[in-house]
Amino acid sequence: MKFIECPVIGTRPHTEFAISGVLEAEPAEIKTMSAAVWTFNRRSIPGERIECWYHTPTQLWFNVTRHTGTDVISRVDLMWRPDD
Amino acid sequence: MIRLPPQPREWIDRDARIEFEFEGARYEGFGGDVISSALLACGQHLLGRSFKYHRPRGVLSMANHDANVLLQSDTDTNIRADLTPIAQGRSYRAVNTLGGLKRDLTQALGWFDRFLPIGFYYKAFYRPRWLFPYWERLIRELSGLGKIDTTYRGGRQSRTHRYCEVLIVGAGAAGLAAAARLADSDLDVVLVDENRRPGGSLDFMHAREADAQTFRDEALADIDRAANIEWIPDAFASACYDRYTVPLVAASGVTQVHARAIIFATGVIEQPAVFRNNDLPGIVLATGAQRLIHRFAVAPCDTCVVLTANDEGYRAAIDFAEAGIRVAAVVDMQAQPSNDDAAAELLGRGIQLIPAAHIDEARGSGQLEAVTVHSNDAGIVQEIACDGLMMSVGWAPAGSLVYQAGGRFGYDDALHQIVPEATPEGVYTTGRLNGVFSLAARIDDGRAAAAEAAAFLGRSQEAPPRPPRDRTPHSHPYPLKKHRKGDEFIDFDEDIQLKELDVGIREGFDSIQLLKRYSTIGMGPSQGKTSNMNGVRFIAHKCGRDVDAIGVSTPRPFYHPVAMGALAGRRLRREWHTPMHESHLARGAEMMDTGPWRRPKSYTAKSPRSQIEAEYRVVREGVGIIDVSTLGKIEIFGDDAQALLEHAYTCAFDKLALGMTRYIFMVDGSGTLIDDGVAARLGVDHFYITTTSTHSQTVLRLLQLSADQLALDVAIIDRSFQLAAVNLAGPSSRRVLGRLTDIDLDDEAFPYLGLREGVVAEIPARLLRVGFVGELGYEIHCAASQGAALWERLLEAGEPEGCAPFGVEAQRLLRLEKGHIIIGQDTDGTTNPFEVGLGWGVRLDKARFHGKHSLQILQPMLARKLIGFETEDRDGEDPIEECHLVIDGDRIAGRVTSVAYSPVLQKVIGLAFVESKLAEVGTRLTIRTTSGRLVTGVVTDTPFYDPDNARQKPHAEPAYETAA
Repeated sequence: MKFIECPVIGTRPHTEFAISGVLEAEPAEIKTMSAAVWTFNRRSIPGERIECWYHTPTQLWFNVTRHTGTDVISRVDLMWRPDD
Repeated sequence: MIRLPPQPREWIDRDARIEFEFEGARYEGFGGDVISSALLACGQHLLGRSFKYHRPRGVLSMANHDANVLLQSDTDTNIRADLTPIAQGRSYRAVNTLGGLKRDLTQALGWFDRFLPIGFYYKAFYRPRWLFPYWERLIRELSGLGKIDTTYRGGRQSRTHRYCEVLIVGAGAAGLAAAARLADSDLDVVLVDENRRPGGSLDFMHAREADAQTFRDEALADIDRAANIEWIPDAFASACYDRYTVPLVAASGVTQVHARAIIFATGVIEQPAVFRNNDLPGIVLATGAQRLIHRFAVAPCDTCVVLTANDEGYRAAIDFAEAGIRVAAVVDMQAQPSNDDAAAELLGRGIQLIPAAHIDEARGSGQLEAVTVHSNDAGIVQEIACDGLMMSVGWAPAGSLVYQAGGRFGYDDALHQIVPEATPEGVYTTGRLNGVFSLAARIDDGRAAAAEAAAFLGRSQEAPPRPPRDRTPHSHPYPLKKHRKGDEFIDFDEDIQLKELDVGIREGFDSIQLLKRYSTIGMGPSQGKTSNMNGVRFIAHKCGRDVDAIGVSTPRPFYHPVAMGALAGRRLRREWHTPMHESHLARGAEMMDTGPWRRPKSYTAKSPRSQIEAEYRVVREGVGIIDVSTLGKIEIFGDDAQALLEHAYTCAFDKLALGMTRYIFMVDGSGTLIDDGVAARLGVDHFYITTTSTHSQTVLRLLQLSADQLALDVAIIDRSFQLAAVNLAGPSSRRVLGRLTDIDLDDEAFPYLGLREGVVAEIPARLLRVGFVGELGYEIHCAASQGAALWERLLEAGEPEGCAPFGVEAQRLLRLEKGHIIIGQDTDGTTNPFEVGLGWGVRLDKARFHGKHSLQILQPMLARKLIGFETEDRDGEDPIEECHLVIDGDRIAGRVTSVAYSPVLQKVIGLAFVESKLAEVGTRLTIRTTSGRLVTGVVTDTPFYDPDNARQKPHAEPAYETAA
């Protein structure tokens, strides 16, 4: 089992998380083809990505910087930062 | 064949005598014997038949790789005889025989082997096509191993989790050294071995060496004393997931070990030599013979020949002589002995050494009788009579789990062995797996691995340097000899001969991945543990490439076969109960699953239609109540609360007035409907929404994600489990509710779709006027702690009107008449709102909402529609059911999503997805039932019942009379 070191909630097992993929902002306007591409195509080339991880028990979302090739997590941030 | 005198490390209990049956005959063994050892001790060498040609086979490894000796008992199948202890009174038979092991009728298949060529499946079934049924019948009869008892209803096995810091897999020399090094540290260590006793090869390859035994005893004493080490015997590490999770499979079930670091001390698997008839009973791996001698005190034969290419073979030969077996000759495939001292000792004992030679052929009828030894260059041939041949020609790493953890392997040209080249952080390999062979080096390697693991976990440990790999080969680079007459078996599991691989390579399958699938090498029950290495050597040799260039296919889980029962484990699924659960049970409800929730299907066992219709009628004619506590309930506060809903849902909220509710639904990024519910405005910056029963947590997650991504100022509170909810519905609901509350229920004061807060039966509550079942109705939400009380008080107050609870089935019928869809039943994973007539709830003129882009594109692309249909057909035996297909000519044109007999309309009604061209009202649909009967239905408008919503109007009188 992997353990994720999170701000606020400490080290948690990965089974407590739901993962919703890479963080991408929805573009304001898109045409038919690019909308299909945006909706259905995902970049699967291994590399460092910022993913959205949801910690189910606390209902907190995190931005997890993870290398999808090596599965190494280099950074974890709360998605919502009221101080920003 | 006799039992040897007591051996220093034997596993058997000579005081316990155990009787069992094999192939109908009675045998006796000692306590601690496995089936193979007990049978060998009784002189029974023929233990199984091979998979394809039904050739006689016996023991090979005694290490759970003997895939040709699989047995069947009354309760179990594919029992590994080299692993499984004998059980008192148990009766065993060999699998894969027709008419018994001795006179297996299918052994004649061996004569026809030219009709079962490599790639047999691909070739035989390809054409002619008319032969296929014949082949299918034949193969179904002959293929597969063992018979499953389909009436088996055994108990479930446990599944547990164990968290630790260091997991050490393998309790041989290196594993024990690693564990002993970590003894008394502050690390939580788990040491596991698939054998029932620790020691590994120390107990059977080094049993007569004093220094090995001293190390073993000291290490075990350290481990035994250490409070931080848990020793788990008799469980095998079946796989490695997620780098640090290793399920241990034992007879009692599965333990998932979650470690922070893993040390693999899994050792090596001895590999057979390949020559003609190398599968005869009596031909065993040297370590297999040593396991028999030292664990079970069984001599595998009277007279043996040792075929060797390494130091271990020489030492084994001495071991056999010490055990009292006559060693007729040691045949060395190398020109120079690997162990000069041992060679000298063997000569001193008068044992013949034949260097630079190989075995050309083994002979015997059902049992080894002699071997023919050829010298490598000169034409010297000699035949040696023997009833045992011990092979010690090389090793393959037991590295499956290291591969799975992400390790990389490469071929060591000096060792002629595949060794780990790189492992991910926190994963360590040690011992012979690493190519370290001398006992002292294995111990040092184990200690170094332990120190590295401790350092990785932040314990300051001076990691001693790793000993270098051995520079003398312990494996022969090519222990394979083709014979003009064939029958040189490279894979015992699947009966694959060298000549077959040869054909495969010539046909172009010259990569290990292709050849494996084409020939099925390595795909039998032992998963290539004794065949893959030789297969790779063969391809490399044939193609003139080196082993590294050919590579080894990554072994997939599981390391050994795992029983389905162990995988299933106990049924530990969450089960959510509403506050009224006990009350439902007390009223005799039949409960059903709705996601994790348990809900009353109806209030009679087995839910007969009469009961469902009775519950339905109570709602249509009087008043009924249903527990809807399972609904997801979410409360949203904050300046941006409306902005959040506008983003998450498709509709607009600006017209949602204070104290009013509306129907809402959300779509995902591709425009697919994923949830629906009701939203209520409790204030400018305060909303209350409900979700479907099974999706509350998903909706919560998505709302929170939107809020975080858009940096909205909102607080989202999950009230799903804090609040209970009851829907009081029916023409008399207002009268019943009026008895319990001060809230003005007059239609002007509390209109349809309104929301009011107040007190019901002294319980603070929030009331929503809803119409899901198509009658006047109030959804009453209150604290979960008071849900049961509210439920009872409502039933009590409604007694004069005959108020009764109704279940999910009655609710489904009620809502179907009203044409209301259920997400997930009337929609699927591709349904967009336009297809189900919910376009009115999609506000594409909103600046943005989740899924808007997709819905914009989908709106003009309507290919199918959910329509209502009715039919007069009412066949009790073969009714229209959900998922029956709508047929248009010879094509499938849709499917039924909901269907039921409507008591009010006195006909069968339903909802169905159909192609747009069939969606016009009045279109006749053809629906195919289970039996293939074609039934005609007619597309009709929905709602079927009360299309004008008259039931929600003030003081409505029943517009329909239900059938009596």
